[in-house]
This record gives sequence, structure tokens and C-alpha cells, in this order.
Amino acid sequence: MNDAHRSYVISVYALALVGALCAGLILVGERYGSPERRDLWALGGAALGMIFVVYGLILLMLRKLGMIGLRRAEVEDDLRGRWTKPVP
Amino acid sequence: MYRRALTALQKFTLRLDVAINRVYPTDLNPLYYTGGLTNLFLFILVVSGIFIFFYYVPSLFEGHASIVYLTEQVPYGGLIRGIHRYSADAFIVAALLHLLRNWFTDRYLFSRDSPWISGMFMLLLGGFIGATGYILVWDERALAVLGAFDGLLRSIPIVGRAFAELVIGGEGLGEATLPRILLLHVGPASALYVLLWWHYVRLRHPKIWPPATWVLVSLGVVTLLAALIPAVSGTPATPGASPGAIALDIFFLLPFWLAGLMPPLLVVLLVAGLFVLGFVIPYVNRESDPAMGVRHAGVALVIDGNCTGCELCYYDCPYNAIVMVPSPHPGLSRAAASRKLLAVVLDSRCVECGICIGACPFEALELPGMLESEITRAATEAVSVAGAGRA
Repeated sequence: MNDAHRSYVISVYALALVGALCAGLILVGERYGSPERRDLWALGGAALGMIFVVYGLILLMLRKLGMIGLRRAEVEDDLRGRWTKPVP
Repeated sequence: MYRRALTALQKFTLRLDVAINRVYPTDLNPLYYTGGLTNLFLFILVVSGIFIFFYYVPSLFEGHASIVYLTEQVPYGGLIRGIHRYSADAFIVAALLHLLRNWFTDRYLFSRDSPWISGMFMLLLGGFIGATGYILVWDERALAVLGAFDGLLRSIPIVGRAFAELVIGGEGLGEATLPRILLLHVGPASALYVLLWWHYVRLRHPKIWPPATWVLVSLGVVTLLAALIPAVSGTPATPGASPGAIALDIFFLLPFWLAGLMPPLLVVLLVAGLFVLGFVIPYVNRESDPAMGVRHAGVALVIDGNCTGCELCYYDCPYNAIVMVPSPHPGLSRAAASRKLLAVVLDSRCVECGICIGACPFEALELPGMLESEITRAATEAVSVAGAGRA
């Protein structure tokens, strides 16, 4: 496992933690907020938006790790620091 | 000059691609999915719009109050309204990026003029739908936008007044006004999907939807924006009050803002001229060099006896110009003897590009104006002439 690979793995864990915190925030809000769901909705909405962003970025990191997607050779290129050939 | 500028912009676009590809895997480069992202934001707009539609009351006296009720009283109503608002901006941004990218990389010429023209219609409708959305909020800004819209319509010679009365629902504001604006908001939005069909119909492999990564990130960003910077209404519109100045929204309100600075007819001519220019772009300065092979090769021809029905040409044709039909009889070659399908070229869709010729391993397709035997003969002649000259 090289440095790039390790940084992607750490990113996945960090993002998953942020996602879990946001999900917890929503659950707490639903449990203790007002029944009409009118208080602090902006905070809950932001947490929901953050979860979408975080899960999207986790997919990106998994793709860069080669755990999803088909182009394994390309991923190996990435881990050597190259994605594509330069434009002539 | 024009071609030189486009070449420079093309180089810039390709280098930008390479720079982004250093960060993202090539199949996740967001610039490759500007069309798919536009479609995604349109989908978000439609879903959130349906939600808002159930609460909106198109009435001069209740329109503003219904939006405030939706924002402040309905669970998550403010969030959905914000998502609708920011998705509209994102739709225009993605559409403009898509337009510029295809323009700079020459993907609007020849057979691609159809997606370009339908795209221009969609951009025009998208801007119009956004402007009518501002009016539906029915606050002071809505009144100012409607006043400017009325002024722009009335400035059109001969038919302007009739148009204005058709849109406003009479000589002045009345109970018919907001229902008509709502119709002008929802109707063209539905028409966008008809235009999308036109946009895609000639393309074999359109990127209709972005990858899951960008779906989630895009949805997340508009949700975050909706939560952190909520969409709010101004003070309710007072019919009869003199409209104030229009705050500039570069995506949707630019013509209405300009109407406060210059004669309305000039603004109408400016907007119309801009779109006419957009519509004619694919037809100006087209390359006429016969070496490009455009409309010189003839529509692709299936050599019945050789076709094995393998479908390779069907999958490779970027223009949906080949269909597979049940074979009425077996082919002549050994490979084609037990075929079940036969390739048929649709003349009206074929752009004579020759991609199917390369796709077919059985020599079952030809371009009549560019037969292999003729090319071989011309090449042989050229070589012999060159050889004689050298001797």
C-alpha cells in the first residue's frame, strides 16, 4: 500500500465518520425536535445535504482505490500519479 | 479569426480536461457529464416542483401567502423550495457549460446540428421558465419582473399588445394573471422533455445521467445551499403600486434588468438576435473541403449476402442509423448462412461517416461513393504515377 492508496483509505473512514455524525444529528433532531418538524429544519437539511455529498465522495474514493469501477489498469496508473496521457 | 478563436478555446478545453483528469478518474471527470448533470438538475426541478405545486395557490391575494405557508409551515417545505431554487441556477450553469464545451470542441457541426438546435430551444425555454418562477412568488420583485415582461412584450410591433394581454390575462392584472403565469411555468417545463427526446434521438450512446458520485454530490450541494442560504420571499406584491428596480439575477432576469436601462424593443431585439445567432452557429463557416468526406461517400449500403446479423454495426453507429430486422432469408457467405437478423440502414439518419464499415468484420457494409475497390484502384494509380515520376 503506497501513500496515495493510504490517503484514500483514510479519506473513506473520515468521510464515513462525518456521514455517521450527520445521520446521528438528523436522528436526534427527529427524536427531540418539535412534532411539526419546523424547528432547526435548516440544520437537519444541511446534515442531509452533507450526507449526500459525503456518500458521493466516498464513492469517488472507492473508485480511486479500484474497489468499484472496471478500469483497474487506470487505477494502477493513478497510484503511480498518472490518470491520462497528456494532450499533444 | 472565428476559427482561430475556436481552436484556441478547444485547446484550452482539452487542457482543462487533462488537468481535471489528474484529480479524478477519467470516467468521473464532471466536464464529461455536463449534459447528464443538466438532465439531473431538470429531474430535481420537476420532482421538487411537483411538491411545490400541491401547495401553491395561483391567486393575486393568496399566491404570496401560499409560498410563505409552504416555506414556514409545511415540514421540510422551505428545504424543498430552496432545492427547487438552487437546482434552477445549477440547471442553467450546467446547460451553459454543456453548450460551451460542445461549441469549443466542434461537436455542433454537421450531423450534430440537431442536438445543438434542440439544446438552444431548451436553453431559451429554461431561461423563460426561471423568469416565470420568479413571478409566481408574487412579491415586490415578482411585480417588477411582471411589469418589465409586460413592457417587453408590448414593445413588439403589431402583435406585442395581443401577446401581453394573452400572458397577463387582460388589459391589466387580474385573477387570470397568476394561473396563466403558472401555465407558462409548468407547460414549457413539460415541453423540455419533448425537446430532450429530440436532443437524444440521433445519438446512439448519449450520457443521459451522470455517475452516482456526481448525482449524490450535486443533490447534496443544492440541499446544503437550500439549508444554509434559504430561499425567501420579499414583501407581498401590491397590484397598482409602482414597481421598484429589479435586482440582477444573471441567469434568469438579465433581460428584465436591461429593460430598466434601455428601450424595451432594443432588449427584445438583443435577446432575439442572440438566440438567432445561436441557432445559425452550426451553419456558418462550415468546412467545405471534400476531403472531409461529408455528403460525398453516399449512404452506407448493406451487402445482404455477407451480413451475419452480429449487431456490431448496430451498436457502433453513433447516430442510430442502423436497425436489426428478422432476416428474410439466409446470407450467401458461410458465416452468414445461419443468421437470424439482418442490418438495415435508415437513409435519413445515415451521415456517411463510415464507422459501420470499420465495425463490420464480415465486409457486409460499404459506402457507395467510397468503395474499397475504387479506393484500392485510386491508390494503385497514385503509387504507379509517383513511381513513374521518380523513374
